[in-house]
Amino acid sequence: MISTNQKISHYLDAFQKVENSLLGNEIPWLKQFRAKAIAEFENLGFPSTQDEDWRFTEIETITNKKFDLPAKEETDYQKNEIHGSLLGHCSPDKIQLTFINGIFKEDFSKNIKNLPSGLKIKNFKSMIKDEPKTLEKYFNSFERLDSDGFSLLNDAFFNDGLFISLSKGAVLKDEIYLNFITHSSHKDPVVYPRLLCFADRDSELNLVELNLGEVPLNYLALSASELICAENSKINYCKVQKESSSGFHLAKIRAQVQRNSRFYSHSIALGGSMVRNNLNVALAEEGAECVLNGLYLASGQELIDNHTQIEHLKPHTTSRELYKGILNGKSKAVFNGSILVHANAQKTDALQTNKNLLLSQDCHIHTKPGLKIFANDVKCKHGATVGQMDQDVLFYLRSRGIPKEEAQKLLIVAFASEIIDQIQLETFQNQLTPILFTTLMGKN
Amino acid sequence: MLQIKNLSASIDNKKILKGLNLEVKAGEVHAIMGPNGSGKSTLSQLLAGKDGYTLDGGEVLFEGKDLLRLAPEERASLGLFLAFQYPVEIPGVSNLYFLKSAYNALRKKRGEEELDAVDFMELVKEKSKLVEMNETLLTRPVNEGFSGGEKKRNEILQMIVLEPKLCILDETDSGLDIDALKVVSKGINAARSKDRAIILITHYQRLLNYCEPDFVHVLYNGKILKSGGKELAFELEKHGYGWILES
Repeated sequence: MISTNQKISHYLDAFQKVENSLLGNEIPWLKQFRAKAIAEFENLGFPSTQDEDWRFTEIETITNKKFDLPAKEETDYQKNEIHGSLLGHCSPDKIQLTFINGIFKEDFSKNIKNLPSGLKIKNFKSMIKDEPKTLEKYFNSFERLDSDGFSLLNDAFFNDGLFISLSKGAVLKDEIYLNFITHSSHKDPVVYPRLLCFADRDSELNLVELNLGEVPLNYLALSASELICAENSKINYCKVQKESSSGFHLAKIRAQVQRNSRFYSHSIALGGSMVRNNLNVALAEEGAECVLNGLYLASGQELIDNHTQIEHLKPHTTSRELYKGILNGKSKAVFNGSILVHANAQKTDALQTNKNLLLSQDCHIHTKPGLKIFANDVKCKHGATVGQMDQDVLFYLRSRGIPKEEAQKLLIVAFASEIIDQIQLETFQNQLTPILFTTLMGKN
Repeated sequence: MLQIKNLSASIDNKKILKGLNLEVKAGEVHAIMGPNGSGKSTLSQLLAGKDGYTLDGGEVLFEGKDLLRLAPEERASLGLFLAFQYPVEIPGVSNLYFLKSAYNALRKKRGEEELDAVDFMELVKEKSKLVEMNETLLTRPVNEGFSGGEKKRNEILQMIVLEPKLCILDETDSGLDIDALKVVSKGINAARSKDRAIILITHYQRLLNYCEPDFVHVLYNGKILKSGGKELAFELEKHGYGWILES
């Protein structure tokens, strides 16, 4: 048993060791940013089940281990082996960016020269070198009042990252693929992938992100994504997680949605020893809208936890949220959705739904949809359902000659299709459906 | 084709079928009539393979095979089809996809090649004309938001697409207006053939005006009380079920 102090000091010591070699160490604002994060971490520590937000999410399995930064950059991986599992590998004409252990890998990326006009894609390393002021500006547009021990560690340790910006009026129909791969020969590695994205006025951007673990041993991925939709813009952010069954993935995703702009999020969690997504969306100005959809598939001993928070800060803001879960084995899932309507956010329109399909006797779902409303002229609705496979429907399918297993699969995919169908990125959907099938088949 | 011998079954310790006998041969159309609670639906669900019934005695042979030991999908692949009294809705599964999955599952079981989407579409379009079904209902999720009549037509469409040997229609006529009844009857009559048997389970004699049965049976309190030709249906309509009990 490791004491709470030891758990924290493991990371404090690591920080002291690498502090001076971290990215942007020579830049005062970034050095300060890191110092502040590590100090806050020291003060706050890791969350525990005593905290309301972590009640059902036992993190001892993570904090009892000593995860370390991979000692050196990985070079011994097989290029082809990884290529096959990258999202977007079947669309050779689309932009693909690959990060291994949080560090940008140009040789795994495609179509990154001659970008469409208005699109800027750079890793943090080049941003620090070429235009640190721009990076600073967008970095500092987040207050990060929602930080926890894990997100603070990313703030302190991230050593690269991806910066994407789309300039005024640029509309990019083709999706951009981001692959974040954890691949290490080092025991118990911790990685810190990071994304910063800005869509300027009237622009439209589609991002598809894959998080994949190729490590047979335990690993910890602490990821941070920050997105800004400027006036009348749209970001569609799809995040797929397919961590290995011994991988831990904890993410903080923050989105700022400005006047008349739209933020779409599709979160597809296909597994991992423990997956936790904290998605916080601020509908910061009038007419801002968000659609948060989620699908999670858990089996074995896996735990998938989705915590979302939507803040309606101004009048006439709209949110639509639908999370659906399929659980099997002894798995556990948590859905905690909070919609916060501030006092002056009149005419807010919010709808939140969580639906769960339980396939075994031993799986657990903790669902807690929530509304906090301080305005008096709003339209808000929320609800949750938990159910098993409808036996009458199953019988109907079988009575038509469809074998039991196939009928079950058909119904599970039908349950998931409500989310998949809404993604509206055809190539990606076509690639996702078979992945979903294999995941389901592997799990049943 | 179908032999039901002294069949007894119960649900939650309540005896529903109490020694039912029936023989149906290829080419025949049988009507089973009876008041509510006589065991009509239990009989059809039991034959199709629904869980939840306890077999108390007797046996059912379908083409010489012990039907009650088989899984629902195995019964279907042998050629048994039940048109449901209350067809279920299946959100997220398109009607066409469902029908194609069923059709190809049956072909696969028979060792035949599966039909591709284009050929299947053609087949379905042809068949759906017969039951005057709007093509938009094919792309919608199975039965979701369908009217009562549309659901029943959908059952008949499945029947004429899957081409079973034995069709059991459980109160397919209930709740239909006269126009829908005519359409459904047309579908049933189109399915009549010398190789196929049809069992019409119904409350009402009305259906039998359009689909003339070869035999009529009265099911009462879990047993066939009386069997006869189609004239039996007219007697029932005239005198009610009480008449059977008295005679």
